[in-house]
Amino acid sequence: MVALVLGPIVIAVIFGFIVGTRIHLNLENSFKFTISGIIALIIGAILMAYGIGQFPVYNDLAIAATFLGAIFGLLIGSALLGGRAKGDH
Amino acid sequence: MSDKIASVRSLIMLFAAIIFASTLFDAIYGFKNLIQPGISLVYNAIGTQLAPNMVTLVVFDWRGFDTLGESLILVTAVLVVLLIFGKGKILDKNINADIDSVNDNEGDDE
Amino acid sequence: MAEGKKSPNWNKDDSSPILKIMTLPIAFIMIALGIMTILGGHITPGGGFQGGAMIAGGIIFCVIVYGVDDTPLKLSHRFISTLESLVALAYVLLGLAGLALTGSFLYNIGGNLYGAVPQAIAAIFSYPDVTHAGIVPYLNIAVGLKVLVGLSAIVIAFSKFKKLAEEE
Repeated sequence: MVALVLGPIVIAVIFGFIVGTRIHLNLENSFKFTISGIIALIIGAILMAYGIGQFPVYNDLAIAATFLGAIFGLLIGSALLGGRAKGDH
Repeated sequence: MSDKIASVRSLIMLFAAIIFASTLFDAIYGFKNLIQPGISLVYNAIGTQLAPNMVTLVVFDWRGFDTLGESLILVTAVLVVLLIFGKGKILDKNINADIDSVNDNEGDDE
Repeated sequence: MAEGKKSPNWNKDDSSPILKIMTLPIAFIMIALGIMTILGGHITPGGGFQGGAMIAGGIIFCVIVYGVDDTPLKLSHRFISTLESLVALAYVLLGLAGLALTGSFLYNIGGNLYGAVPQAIAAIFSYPDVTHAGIVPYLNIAVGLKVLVGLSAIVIAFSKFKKLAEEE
């Protein structure tokens, strides 16, 4: 039965957005947010969410929806606000 | 400027102290009438209507005031670490400049 | 992604490039696991303290591998103090709402076990979930943010002490 509970997913996206705004990349040998890197991260996250199962809410989707929501919140936050401010951010 | 900041800080400190003192006093006032023997059995029967995890319910619902103080322990730990090991070195430059200017002004007055 | 470079420039003081490439995605996954643990705190084992410690683990991992100064997950002084005080204020305000409406500090307004609050007010504070646990998940989130900020602040402070001791 698929009865999607939206509240925890929305809060997970907001929570991930708060932490993701702190990401600031200025390294040469680091993981860059290119398209292939993001796709690999998302594929790994979906595999992990399938392994976790319906973890926080037990009659929901077959994958951990809040885990994926947190990953998307982190990516959105780092893409929108991360690394823009230079000094004290 | 620093006098203004200090007075605003002491006002905020006063309001925070009033809020905490009122909550503490309200918790203590009439405390004897609130105690019922066997309340743990009642809560064990009633609590799982709220959420399935009983441990989280005891920590956050029944003993929420304990958890407030328990989470302030971490703040105290960070403060003590900065106070003992840092010797006041890790501060923002603005705060340091403010303290230095205050000290300089006091020295000039004397 | 070393584009056009034959070998990445790597001096001996830094971490190895394998660690530097793999740490940030692993930290992402650790942070997402911590957020999932916090949000499932009232249904499953776990809670605010444990989930916050997992998120702080991701941030500490980045600090150790990349160094304090150019870690990608950098928490500034202003962010730490603002988040810490805002979250403590939110916790106290949730308690004061119970104090104002029912007369007991930190009464669970949304759960409303004793029926002390009218149903319309209880619907505002209710968590949008299948269990309707009231303010317990909100307190979980508050404690999780506090623990995340506090634990990473201790590690950041110790790393900067090491740098200060080398300067002297």
